[in-house]
Amino acid sequence: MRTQPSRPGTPLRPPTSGTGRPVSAHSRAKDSRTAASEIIAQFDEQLAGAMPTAVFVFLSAAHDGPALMSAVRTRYPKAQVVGCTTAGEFVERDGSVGGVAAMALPATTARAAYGVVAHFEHGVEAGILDAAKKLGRMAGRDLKSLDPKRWVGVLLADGMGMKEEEINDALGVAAPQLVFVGGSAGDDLAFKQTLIFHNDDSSTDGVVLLLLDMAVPFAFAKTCSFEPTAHRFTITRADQENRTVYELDGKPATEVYARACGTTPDKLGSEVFMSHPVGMMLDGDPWIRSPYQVTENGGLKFFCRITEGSEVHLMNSTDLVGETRQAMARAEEEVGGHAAGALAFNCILRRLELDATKAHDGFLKAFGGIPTLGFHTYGESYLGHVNQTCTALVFA
Amino acid sequence: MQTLDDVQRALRARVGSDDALKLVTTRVFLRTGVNLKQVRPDQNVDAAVITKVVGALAAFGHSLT
Repeated sequence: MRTQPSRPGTPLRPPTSGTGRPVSAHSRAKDSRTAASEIIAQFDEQLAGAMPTAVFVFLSAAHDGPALMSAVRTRYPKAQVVGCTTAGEFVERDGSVGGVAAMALPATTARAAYGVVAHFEHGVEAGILDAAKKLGRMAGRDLKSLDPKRWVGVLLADGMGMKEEEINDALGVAAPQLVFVGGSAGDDLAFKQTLIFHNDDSSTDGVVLLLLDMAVPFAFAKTCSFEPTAHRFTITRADQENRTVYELDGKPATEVYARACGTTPDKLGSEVFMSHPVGMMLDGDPWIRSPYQVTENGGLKFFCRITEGSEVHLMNSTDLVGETRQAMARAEEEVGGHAAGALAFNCILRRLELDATKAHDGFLKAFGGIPTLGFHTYGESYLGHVNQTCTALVFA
Repeated sequence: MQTLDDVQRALRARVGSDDALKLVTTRVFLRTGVNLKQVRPDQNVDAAVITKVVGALAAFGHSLT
Protein backbone atom coordinates (compact mmCIF):
# COMPACT_ATOMS: atom_id res chain seq x y z
CA MET A 1 0.00 0.00 0.00
CA ARG A 2 1.24 3.48 -0.73
CA THR A 3 -0.19 6.91 -0.68
CA GLN A 4 -0.96 8.73 -3.86
CA PRO A 5 2.37 9.91 -5.31
CA SER A 6 3.04 13.49 -6.21
CA ARG A 7 4.19 14.32 -9.71
CA PRO A 8 7.63 12.90 -10.44
CA GLY A 9 10.35 15.48 -10.51
CA THR A 10 8.59 17.96 -8.23
CA PRO A 11 11.46 20.29 -7.37
CA LEU A 12 12.74 20.80 -3.87
CA ARG A 13 11.97 24.20 -2.43
CA PRO A 14 15.13 26.15 -3.17
CA PRO A 15 17.33 27.09 -0.21
CA THR A 16 17.02 30.71 0.82
CA SER A 17 19.79 32.93 2.12
CA GLY A 18 22.25 30.25 3.03
CA THR A 19 19.97 27.77 4.76
CA GLY A 20 18.26 29.84 7.38
CA ARG A 21 15.14 27.77 6.92
CA PRO A 22 13.85 24.36 7.91
CA VAL A 23 14.39 21.82 5.15
CA SER A 24 12.58 18.59 4.36
CA ALA A 25 13.67 15.40 2.62
CA HIS A 26 11.92 12.28 1.39
CA SER A 27 12.94 8.89 0.05
CA ARG A 28 10.99 5.98 -1.35
CA ALA A 29 14.06 3.71 -1.36
CA LYS A 30 13.43 0.35 0.30
CA ASP A 31 17.08 -0.17 1.14
CA SER A 32 17.89 1.72 4.35
CA ARG A 33 21.42 2.65 3.31
CA THR A 34 20.15 4.11 0.04
CA ALA A 35 17.34 5.91 1.84
CA ALA A 36 19.80 7.45 4.31
CA SER A 37 22.02 8.62 1.44
CA GLU A 38 19.09 10.20 -0.35
CA ILE A 39 17.86 11.97 2.79
CA ILE A 40 21.32 13.30 3.60
CA ALA A 41 21.93 14.40 0.00
CA GLN A 42 18.65 16.35 -0.05
CA PHE A 43 19.45 17.96 3.30
CA ASP A 44 22.98 18.89 2.25
CA GLU A 45 21.76 20.43 -0.98
CA GLN A 46 19.36 22.67 0.91
CA LEU A 47 21.38 23.34 4.06
CA ALA A 48 24.40 24.43 2.03
CA GLY A 49 26.86 23.81 4.82
CA ALA A 50 24.80 24.80 7.84
CA MET A 51 24.54 22.33 10.69
CA PRO A 52 21.04 21.69 12.03
CA THR A 53 20.24 21.72 15.74
CA ALA A 54 17.48 19.14 15.39
CA VAL A 55 16.67 16.47 12.83
CA PHE A 56 13.41 14.52 12.70
CA VAL A 57 13.28 11.20 10.83
CA PHE A 58 9.98 9.37 10.30
CA LEU A 59 10.39 5.99 8.65
CA SER A 60 8.59 2.80 7.79
CA ALA A 61 8.94 -0.09 10.23
CA ALA A 62 10.26 -2.08 7.27
CA HIS A 63 13.46 -0.01 7.38
CA ASP A 64 16.48 -0.67 9.55
CA GLY A 65 15.71 2.20 11.89
CA PRO A 66 18.86 2.15 14.03
CA ALA A 67 21.10 2.05 10.94
CA LEU A 68 19.24 4.90 9.29
CA MET A 69 19.29 7.03 12.43
CA SER A 70 22.97 6.31 12.90
CA ALA A 71 23.78 7.46 9.36
CA VAL A 72 21.93 10.73 9.89
CA ARG A 73 23.54 11.20 13.31
CA THR A 74 26.99 10.60 11.87
CA ARG A 75 26.41 13.27 9.22
CA TYR A 76 24.99 15.81 11.72
CA PRO A 77 26.77 15.01 14.99
CA LYS A 78 25.78 18.25 16.72
CA ALA A 79 22.07 17.79 16.09
CA GLN A 80 19.57 16.02 18.26
CA VAL A 81 18.25 13.29 15.95
CA VAL A 82 14.82 11.95 16.84
CA GLY A 83 12.35 9.78 15.00
CA CYS A 84 9.93 6.92 14.96
CA THR A 85 8.33 4.29 12.79
CA THR A 86 5.12 5.27 11.03
CA ALA A 87 1.97 4.20 9.23
CA GLY A 88 3.03 6.37 6.32
CA GLU A 89 5.20 9.47 6.17
CA PHE A 90 5.14 12.68 4.17
CA VAL A 91 6.73 15.97 3.34
CA GLU A 92 5.01 18.88 1.63
CA ARG A 93 5.68 17.50 -1.86
CA ASP A 94 5.37 13.74 -1.50
CA GLY A 95 4.20 10.93 0.73
CA SER A 96 4.76 7.21 1.04
CA VAL A 97 4.13 4.05 2.94
CA GLY A 98 7.38 2.14 3.28
CA GLY A 99 9.64 5.18 2.85
CA VAL A 100 11.45 7.79 4.90
CA ALA A 101 10.64 11.46 5.48
CA ALA A 102 12.77 13.91 7.43
CA MET A 103 13.26 17.53 8.43
CA ALA A 104 16.26 19.48 9.67
CA LEU A 105 15.88 22.62 11.76
CA PRO A 106 18.72 25.15 11.59
CA ALA A 107 19.77 27.30 14.53
CA THR A 108 17.83 30.21 13.05
CA THR A 109 14.67 28.19 13.72
CA ALA A 110 15.62 26.34 16.92
CA ARG A 111 18.52 27.86 18.87
CA ALA A 112 18.99 24.62 20.75
CA ALA A 113 17.41 21.22 21.13
CA TYR A 114 17.52 18.76 24.02
CA GLY A 115 16.26 15.20 23.69
CA VAL A 116 15.73 12.19 25.90
CA VAL A 117 13.88 8.88 25.87
CA ALA A 118 11.54 8.41 28.83
CA HIS A 119 11.45 4.72 29.75
CA PHE A 120 8.60 3.30 31.78
CA GLU A 121 10.09 0.45 33.84
CA HIS A 122 8.98 2.27 37.00
CA GLY A 123 5.71 3.59 35.63
CA VAL A 124 4.78 6.29 33.18
CA GLU A 125 4.69 9.26 35.56
CA ALA A 126 8.03 8.29 37.13
CA GLY A 127 9.57 7.90 33.68
CA ILE A 128 8.27 11.27 32.49
CA LEU A 129 9.30 13.10 35.66
CA ASP A 130 12.79 11.60 35.45
CA ALA A 131 13.07 12.56 31.78
CA ALA A 132 11.82 16.07 32.56
CA LYS A 133 14.54 16.46 35.19
CA LYS A 134 17.16 15.44 32.64
CA LEU A 135 15.78 17.92 30.11
CA GLY A 136 15.75 20.63 32.75
CA ARG A 137 19.40 19.97 33.57
CA MET A 138 20.30 20.16 29.87
CA ALA A 139 18.33 23.37 29.38
CA GLY A 140 19.75 24.86 32.59
CA ARG A 141 16.35 25.45 34.17
CA ASP A 142 13.46 23.47 35.57
CA LEU A 143 10.86 22.87 32.85
CA LYS A 144 8.25 24.52 35.08
CA SER A 145 10.05 27.85 34.78
CA LEU A 146 10.65 27.87 31.02
CA ASP A 147 8.91 30.57 28.97
CA PRO A 148 6.13 28.84 26.96
CA LYS A 149 6.38 31.49 24.26
CA ARG A 150 9.99 30.53 23.64
CA TRP A 151 10.15 26.81 24.43
CA VAL A 152 8.12 23.99 22.96
CA GLY A 153 8.18 20.22 23.25
CA VAL A 154 7.71 17.48 20.69
CA LEU A 155 6.79 13.96 21.77
CA LEU A 156 7.01 10.71 19.83
CA ALA A 157 5.32 7.91 21.75
CA ASP A 158 5.26 4.17 21.30
CA GLY A 159 2.06 3.45 19.39
CA MET A 160 1.12 0.12 20.93
CA GLY A 161 1.34 0.68 24.68
CA MET A 162 -1.91 2.65 25.22
CA LYS A 163 -0.04 5.02 27.52
CA GLU A 164 -0.64 8.32 25.75
CA GLU A 165 -3.11 9.64 28.34
CA GLU A 166 -0.69 8.96 31.17
CA ILE A 167 2.16 10.49 29.18
CA ASN A 168 0.26 13.70 28.50
CA ASP A 169 -1.03 13.92 32.07
CA ALA A 170 2.49 13.44 33.42
CA LEU A 171 3.82 16.12 31.08
CA GLY A 172 1.16 18.42 32.50
CA VAL A 173 2.60 17.69 35.95
CA ALA A 174 6.25 18.06 34.91
CA ALA A 175 5.80 21.12 32.73
CA PRO A 176 2.32 22.61 33.21
CA GLN A 177 2.98 25.73 31.15
CA LEU A 178 4.78 24.07 28.23
CA VAL A 179 3.02 22.54 25.27
CA PHE A 180 4.19 19.20 23.95
CA VAL A 181 2.78 18.28 20.56
CA GLY A 182 3.36 15.02 18.73
CA GLY A 183 2.14 11.61 17.79
CA SER A 184 2.31 7.90 18.43
CA ALA A 185 4.53 5.73 16.25
CA GLY A 186 3.03 3.31 13.72
CA ASP A 187 4.09 0.15 11.94
CA ASP A 188 2.34 0.33 8.55
CA LEU A 189 -0.88 -1.10 10.06
CA ALA A 190 0.73 -4.36 11.22
CA PHE A 191 -0.05 -3.46 14.86
CA LYS A 192 2.84 -5.57 16.11
CA GLN A 193 5.59 -3.27 17.26
CA THR A 194 6.52 0.37 16.92
CA LEU A 195 9.90 2.00 17.54
CA ILE A 196 10.95 5.43 18.72
CA PHE A 197 14.48 6.83 18.38
CA HIS A 198 16.68 9.45 19.96
CA ASN A 199 20.26 9.62 18.72
CA ASP A 200 21.65 6.13 19.38
CA ASP A 201 18.86 5.15 21.77
CA SER A 202 15.66 3.39 20.75
CA SER A 203 12.67 1.93 22.53
CA THR A 204 9.55 -0.10 21.89
CA ASP A 205 7.95 1.11 25.11
CA GLY A 206 8.49 4.73 25.97
CA VAL A 207 8.39 8.21 24.57
CA VAL A 208 10.95 10.50 22.98
CA LEU A 209 10.77 14.02 24.35
CA LEU A 210 12.47 16.81 22.42
CA LEU A 211 12.64 20.26 23.95
CA LEU A 212 13.20 23.10 21.48
CA ASP A 213 14.44 26.59 22.31
CA MET A 214 12.75 28.37 19.43
CA ALA A 215 14.31 31.36 17.72
CA VAL A 216 11.11 32.14 15.83
CA PRO A 217 7.41 32.51 16.67
CA PHE A 218 5.45 29.27 16.65
CA ALA A 219 1.84 28.14 16.87
CA PHE A 220 -0.16 24.95 17.02
CA ALA A 221 -2.77 23.50 14.73
CA LYS A 222 -5.29 20.88 15.79
CA THR A 223 -7.75 19.92 13.13
CA CYS A 224 -10.32 17.21 12.58
CA SER A 225 -12.94 16.94 9.90
CA PHE A 226 -15.99 16.58 12.08
CA GLU A 227 -18.88 18.65 13.34
CA PRO A 228 -21.12 17.86 16.30
CA THR A 229 -24.62 16.51 15.74
CA ALA A 230 -27.59 17.11 18.03
CA HIS A 231 -26.96 13.72 19.67
CA ARG A 232 -25.29 14.31 23.02
CA PHE A 233 -24.55 11.70 25.69
CA THR A 234 -23.06 11.45 29.15
CA ILE A 235 -20.61 8.61 29.79
CA THR A 236 -22.18 6.86 32.76
CA ARG A 237 -20.05 3.69 32.92
CA ALA A 238 -16.57 3.21 31.50
CA ASP A 239 -13.36 1.27 32.02
CA GLN A 240 -10.96 4.15 31.53
CA GLU A 241 -7.80 2.06 31.59
CA ASN A 242 -9.05 -0.14 28.76
CA ARG A 243 -10.64 2.77 26.93
CA THR A 244 -14.02 1.03 26.91
CA VAL A 245 -17.42 2.65 27.42
CA TYR A 246 -20.27 0.47 28.66
CA GLU A 247 -23.07 2.93 29.25
CA LEU A 248 -24.25 6.16 27.68
CA ASP A 249 -26.97 8.01 29.58
CA GLY A 250 -27.39 4.94 31.78
CA LYS A 251 -28.17 2.62 28.85
CA PRO A 252 -26.05 0.07 26.94
CA ALA A 253 -23.50 2.05 24.96
CA THR A 254 -23.75 0.07 21.74
CA GLU A 255 -27.52 0.47 21.57
CA VAL A 256 -27.48 4.20 22.23
CA TYR A 257 -24.59 4.82 19.85
CA ALA A 258 -26.03 2.65 17.06
CA ARG A 259 -29.45 4.29 17.30
CA ALA A 260 -27.89 7.76 17.08
CA CYS A 261 -25.98 6.63 13.99
CA GLY A 262 -29.20 5.39 12.41
CA THR A 263 -28.29 1.73 12.57
CA THR A 264 -28.40 -1.28 14.90
CA PRO A 265 -25.68 -2.71 17.16
CA ASP A 266 -25.14 -5.76 14.92
CA LYS A 267 -24.29 -3.46 12.00
CA LEU A 268 -21.64 -1.46 13.83
CA GLY A 269 -18.32 -1.67 12.01
CA SER A 270 -15.39 0.36 10.79
CA GLU A 271 -17.43 2.33 8.26
CA VAL A 272 -19.83 3.63 10.89
CA PHE A 273 -17.07 4.13 13.46
CA MET A 274 -14.86 6.15 11.10
CA SER A 275 -17.69 8.46 10.04
CA HIS A 276 -19.11 8.89 13.53
CA PRO A 277 -16.60 9.22 16.32
CA VAL A 278 -17.61 11.16 19.40
CA GLY A 279 -16.22 14.49 20.47
CA MET A 280 -15.74 16.20 23.82
CA MET A 281 -16.60 19.82 23.07
CA LEU A 282 -14.55 22.63 24.61
CA ASP A 283 -15.29 26.18 23.48
CA GLY A 284 -16.84 24.80 20.29
CA ASP A 285 -13.75 22.74 19.51
CA PRO A 286 -14.11 18.94 19.37
CA TRP A 287 -11.58 16.63 21.01
CA ILE A 288 -12.22 13.41 19.13
CA ARG A 289 -12.50 9.93 20.60
CA SER A 290 -12.86 7.18 17.99
CA PRO A 291 -14.63 3.88 18.64
CA TYR A 292 -13.29 0.87 16.78
CA GLN A 293 -14.76 -2.28 18.26
CA VAL A 294 -17.78 -3.73 20.03
CA THR A 295 -16.50 -5.85 22.91
CA GLU A 296 -17.92 -9.26 23.79
CA ASN A 297 -19.60 -7.82 26.85
CA GLY A 298 -21.35 -5.06 24.96
CA GLY A 299 -18.88 -2.23 25.42
CA LEU A 300 -17.60 0.22 22.85
CA LYS A 301 -13.82 0.20 22.68
CA PHE A 302 -12.13 3.46 21.76
CA PHE A 303 -8.64 4.45 20.63
CA CYS A 304 -8.65 7.02 23.42
CA ARG A 305 -9.70 7.31 27.05
CA ILE A 306 -13.11 8.73 27.92
CA THR A 307 -13.71 9.64 31.54
CA GLU A 308 -16.93 8.73 33.32
CA GLY A 309 -19.10 11.80 33.68
CA SER A 310 -17.85 13.32 30.42
CA GLU A 311 -20.35 14.64 27.95
CA VAL A 312 -19.75 13.72 24.32
CA HIS A 313 -21.40 14.58 21.03
CA LEU A 314 -21.87 12.21 18.13
CA MET A 315 -19.90 13.68 15.23
CA ASN A 316 -20.49 13.83 11.46
CA SER A 317 -17.72 13.86 8.85
CA THR A 318 -16.95 17.07 7.02
CA ASP A 319 -14.14 18.10 4.66
CA LEU A 320 -10.77 16.73 5.76
CA VAL A 321 -8.64 18.59 3.23
CA GLY A 322 -10.53 21.88 3.55
CA GLU A 323 -10.39 21.87 7.35
CA THR A 324 -6.68 21.05 7.30
CA ARG A 325 -6.07 23.97 4.95
CA GLN A 326 -8.03 26.32 7.22
CA ALA A 327 -6.22 25.14 10.36
CA MET A 328 -2.84 25.63 8.72
CA ALA A 329 -3.87 29.08 7.49
CA ARG A 330 -4.91 30.06 11.03
CA ALA A 331 -1.60 28.84 12.45
CA GLU A 332 0.29 30.69 9.73
CA GLU A 333 -1.57 33.89 10.68
CA GLU A 334 -0.62 33.34 14.32
CA VAL A 335 3.08 33.22 13.47
CA GLY A 336 2.91 36.49 11.56
CA GLY A 337 1.41 35.59 8.22
CA HIS A 338 4.23 33.50 6.84
CA ALA A 339 5.23 30.07 8.07
CA ALA A 340 8.66 28.64 7.30
CA GLY A 341 7.95 25.09 8.38
CA ALA A 342 5.60 22.62 10.04
CA LEU A 343 5.72 19.30 11.83
CA ALA A 344 2.45 17.41 11.46
CA PHE A 345 1.06 14.34 13.20
CA ASN A 346 -1.85 12.92 11.23
CA CYS A 347 -4.07 10.08 12.43
CA ILE A 348 -3.91 6.78 10.55
CA LEU A 349 -7.73 6.88 10.25
CA ARG A 350 -7.39 10.16 8.36
CA ARG A 351 -4.81 8.51 6.10
CA LEU A 352 -7.27 5.70 5.38
CA GLU A 353 -9.87 8.33 4.48
CA LEU A 354 -7.33 10.03 2.20
CA ASP A 355 -6.58 6.64 0.62
CA ALA A 356 -10.28 5.95 0.03
CA THR A 357 -10.99 9.38 -1.41
CA LYS A 358 -7.68 9.63 -3.32
CA ALA A 359 -7.13 12.97 -1.65
CA HIS A 360 -3.44 12.77 -0.65
CA ASP A 361 -2.40 15.45 -3.13
CA GLY A 362 -5.00 17.83 -1.73
CA PHE A 363 -3.93 17.03 1.82
CA LEU A 364 -0.29 17.84 1.09
CA LYS A 365 -1.29 21.04 -0.69
CA ALA A 366 -3.23 22.07 2.43
CA PHE A 367 0.17 22.77 4.02
CA GLY A 368 0.60 25.63 1.58
CA GLY A 369 3.90 24.54 0.10
CA ILE A 370 5.90 25.33 3.25
CA PRO A 371 8.56 22.77 4.23
CA THR A 372 6.53 20.21 6.16
CA LEU A 373 7.29 16.90 7.75
CA GLY A 374 4.66 14.54 9.04
CA PHE A 375 3.65 10.98 9.63
CA HIS A 376 0.44 9.01 9.90
CA THR A 377 0.13 8.08 13.55
CA TYR A 378 -1.47 5.64 15.94
CA GLY A 379 -2.52 8.59 18.13
CA GLU A 380 -2.06 12.35 18.26
CA SER A 381 -1.05 14.48 21.19
CA TYR A 382 -1.61 18.13 22.03
CA LEU A 383 -2.05 18.77 25.75
CA GLY A 384 -3.83 15.43 25.80
CA HIS A 385 -4.42 12.43 23.61
CA VAL A 386 -6.83 12.67 20.66
CA ASN A 387 -7.99 10.55 17.72
CA GLN A 388 -8.82 11.21 14.06
CA THR A 389 -7.01 14.52 14.31
CA CYS A 390 -3.99 16.22 12.81
CA THR A 391 -1.89 18.09 15.34
CA ALA A 392 0.91 20.32 14.15
CA LEU A 393 3.67 22.64 15.25
CA VAL A 394 3.98 25.55 12.83
CA PHE A 395 6.89 27.97 12.97
CA ALA A 396 7.85 31.24 11.31
CA MET B 1 -14.73 24.88 47.84
CA GLN B 2 -18.43 24.02 47.71
CA THR B 3 -18.97 24.26 43.98
CA LEU B 4 -17.06 24.07 40.71
CA ASP B 5 -17.86 27.76 40.28
CA ASP B 6 -15.85 28.37 43.47
CA VAL B 7 -13.00 26.31 42.02
CA GLN B 8 -13.15 28.25 38.78
CA ARG B 9 -13.04 31.61 40.58
CA ALA B 10 -10.14 30.52 42.80
CA LEU B 11 -8.23 29.26 39.78
CA ARG B 12 -8.80 32.46 37.84
CA ALA B 13 -7.54 34.49 40.78
CA ARG B 14 -4.45 32.33 41.03
CA VAL B 15 -3.57 32.08 37.35
CA GLY B 16 -2.56 35.40 35.91
CA SER B 17 -2.77 35.16 32.16
CA ASP B 18 -5.59 34.02 29.91
CA ASP B 19 -3.14 31.80 28.01
CA ALA B 20 -2.12 29.98 31.16
CA LEU B 21 -5.75 29.63 32.24
CA LYS B 22 -6.69 28.16 28.87
CA LEU B 23 -3.84 25.67 29.11
CA VAL B 24 -4.73 24.41 32.57
CA THR B 25 -8.49 24.27 31.97
CA THR B 26 -7.90 22.27 28.78
CA ARG B 27 -5.65 19.82 30.63
CA VAL B 28 -8.27 19.46 33.39
CA PHE B 29 -11.02 18.97 30.80
CA LEU B 30 -9.14 16.18 29.03
CA ARG B 31 -8.23 14.49 32.31
CA THR B 32 -11.58 14.77 34.12
CA GLY B 33 -14.20 15.62 31.50
CA VAL B 34 -15.07 18.78 33.43
CA ASN B 35 -15.20 22.08 31.55
CA LEU B 36 -14.37 24.72 34.17
CA LYS B 37 -15.18 27.50 31.75
CA GLN B 38 -18.75 26.28 31.32
CA VAL B 39 -19.71 24.30 34.38
CA ARG B 40 -22.56 21.85 33.93
CA PRO B 41 -25.30 22.31 36.56
CA ASP B 42 -25.31 18.57 37.38
CA GLN B 43 -21.57 18.69 38.15
CA ASN B 44 -21.41 22.02 39.96
CA VAL B 45 -22.18 20.76 43.47
CA ASP B 46 -21.08 17.14 43.01
CA ALA B 47 -18.53 16.59 45.79
CA ALA B 48 -16.82 13.71 43.98
CA VAL B 49 -16.39 15.79 40.84
CA ILE B 50 -15.09 18.76 42.81
CA THR B 51 -12.55 16.53 44.56
CA LYS B 52 -11.45 15.10 41.21
CA VAL B 53 -11.00 18.55 39.67
CA VAL B 54 -9.17 19.99 42.68
CA GLY B 55 -6.86 16.95 42.62
CA ALA B 56 -6.13 17.40 38.91
CA LEU B 57 -5.42 21.09 39.44
CA ALA B 58 -3.03 20.28 42.28
CA ALA B 59 -1.20 17.80 40.05
CA PHE B 60 -0.83 20.49 37.40
CA GLY B 61 0.74 22.83 39.96
CA HIS B 62 -2.34 24.76 41.10
CA SER B 63 -3.09 23.75 44.67
CA LEU B 64 -6.23 25.61 45.71
CA THR B 65 -6.48 24.32 49.28
